[in-house]
Amino acid sequence: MTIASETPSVELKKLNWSRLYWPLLGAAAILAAVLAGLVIGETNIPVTDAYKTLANKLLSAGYEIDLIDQGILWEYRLPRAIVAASCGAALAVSGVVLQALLRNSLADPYILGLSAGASTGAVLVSIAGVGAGAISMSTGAFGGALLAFIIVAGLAKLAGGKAGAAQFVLAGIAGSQLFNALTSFIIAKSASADQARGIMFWLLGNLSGVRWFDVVTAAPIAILGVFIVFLHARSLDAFTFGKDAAASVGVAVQRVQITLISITALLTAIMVSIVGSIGFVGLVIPHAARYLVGVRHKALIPASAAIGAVFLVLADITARIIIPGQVLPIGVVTALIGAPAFAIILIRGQR
Amino acid sequence: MKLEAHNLTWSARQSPIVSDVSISIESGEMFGLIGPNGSGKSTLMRMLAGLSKPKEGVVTIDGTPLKQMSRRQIAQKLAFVEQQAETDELIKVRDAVELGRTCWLSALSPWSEQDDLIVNSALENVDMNHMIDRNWHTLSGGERQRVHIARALAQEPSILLLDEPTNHLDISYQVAILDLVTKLDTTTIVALHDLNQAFKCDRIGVMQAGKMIAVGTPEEILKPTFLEDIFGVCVHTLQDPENGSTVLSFHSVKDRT
Ligand SMILES: Nc1ncnc2c1ncn2[C@@H]1O[C@H](COP(=O)(O)OP(=O)(O)OP(=O)(O)O)[C@@H](O)[C@H]1O
Ligand SMILES: [Mg+2]
Repeated sequence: MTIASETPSVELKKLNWSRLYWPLLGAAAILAAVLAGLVIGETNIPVTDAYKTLANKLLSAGYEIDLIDQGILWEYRLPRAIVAASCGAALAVSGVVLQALLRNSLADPYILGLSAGASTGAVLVSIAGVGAGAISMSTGAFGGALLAFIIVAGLAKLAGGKAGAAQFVLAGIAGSQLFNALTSFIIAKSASADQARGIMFWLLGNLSGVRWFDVVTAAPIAILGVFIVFLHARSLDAFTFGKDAAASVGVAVQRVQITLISITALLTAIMVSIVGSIGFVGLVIPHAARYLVGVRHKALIPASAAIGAVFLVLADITARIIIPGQVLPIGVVTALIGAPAFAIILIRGQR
Repeated sequence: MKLEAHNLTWSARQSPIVSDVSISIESGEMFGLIGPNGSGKSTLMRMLAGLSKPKEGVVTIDGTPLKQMSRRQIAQKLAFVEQQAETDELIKVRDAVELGRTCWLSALSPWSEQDDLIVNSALENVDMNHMIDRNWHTLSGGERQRVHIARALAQEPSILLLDEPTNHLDISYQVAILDLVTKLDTTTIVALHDLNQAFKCDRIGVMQAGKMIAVGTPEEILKPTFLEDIFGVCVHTLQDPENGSTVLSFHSVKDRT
């Protein structure tokens, strides 16, 4: 018995070191990606200038630097990179939550129609003028995302689907189609031709218009959302063997489900109302993270957040430079990478 | 701890599945639940575990209705092993057993060495301690069942509900798990199909078509004439020549003629 009680404590001391290792690695990767987002673009700007700009703006260092470059870095690229990182983390963690709660490895905000619902809500407010200026676009998006989830979950349940069953994904497809059609309908009815083109571009995912104003919403919500989900890591683990098993080990199933689904809807809604709906991040990133750190949510949630953040910043860089003189919607880039990755998941899922 | 059920009723789409079942299980007692397939054993156990709400009736632990306790409080007192619970996740054996500690952990009392020791001893009890790093999907049916039992033991419950804990186990583990459960001083309810194993219980309840039609000691319940009525098979009793205990032997009714 003495031997048994000593072994774990040795392991724990070792763990303390590796506990620091992963978070530091994650933070370093995000910082490196954001830095890359600063310097790479249509005109490449040297790293030293990026450093000087940051020092000037944050510490009033007073370095001499080309004001146009400084403007591009500070007003355009930095907010854009931060929002991309927030968005990637939020979507990836939303995917983790939905996959755990529904016990379905194909669940994510995009497939389950949350993104489509958020788009409809956002368009209703911004184009059709619902709420008469009293509610913001992101509130509309939140309402749309929640409504979409309720409809999809209800349909899946009526179709006899238990968590983990294909019904959920099928219901999600139906829900996405419905809400996308509604969005198109609203646009066709209420938007001018110019507005319509702008919205279509935004719907595919687009970070072009992102400014500091958006950072102030996206970053805190992403951090808060990921943190709250992280606090539920143990509960999410307990869903491994289903709702009943989770309840058996003491998880307040309904409370956890409502809290976490609401957070997922909120994260999706905020990100959709800023950058449009971006597919595949929530679906693919959690699988990549599981491959690296395993299925326990205490590691999976931060790992997914970090990988999602890095991935979306890099995808945004790609979207900006792949066709010279033109910016591709970021949703196109994530789909081009995500679809093959998704195929790999499907094939490996066969085991 | 004492587990009581008063007038439990549950129905699916108007048809009654469990009707008006009342039982009172004493602290430390081992209570067996027998009955044909579909007689409502699992449905009753889910209500006793607080996983499904009875349409009518109440379940109490030491006099307190389950309805008045949080899931966490229930889980600290009562552990339930479902008839089957599966996953596609690449979860490891040890992780699965650690889930049992969930109800004792919080932000203020995080995972400690004590939890490690409890998990270790739960794994030892079901003889799975040499497989802690195996992935769930590589386990055999019996191994999975032992992991679920270990998970329930790691909860350190005062009341243990086991729904057919031995149906996937080879004979040595059937004996081992039942002996283990008999030795624990928890209040235990166990649904069984092997009537010879039911002799190990202190008392037995018989379910038929959703009703608890008899409750009594194994000697009172496990009588050939009674069992023949319920299960529709021909039953003989034999004596074990070693220790003189009763053994049941079963034949289809046709054989009698
Ligand atoms: N949700 C449900 N909807 C409809 N019928 C149900 C439901 N749950 C259980 N039943 C039915 O209720 C009856 C009792 O089921 P239960 O699982 O309690 O039986 P059991 O005694 O545990 O049987 P077994 O020995 O096969 O495990 C069965 O006929 C089953 O089909
Ligand atoms: Mg059963």
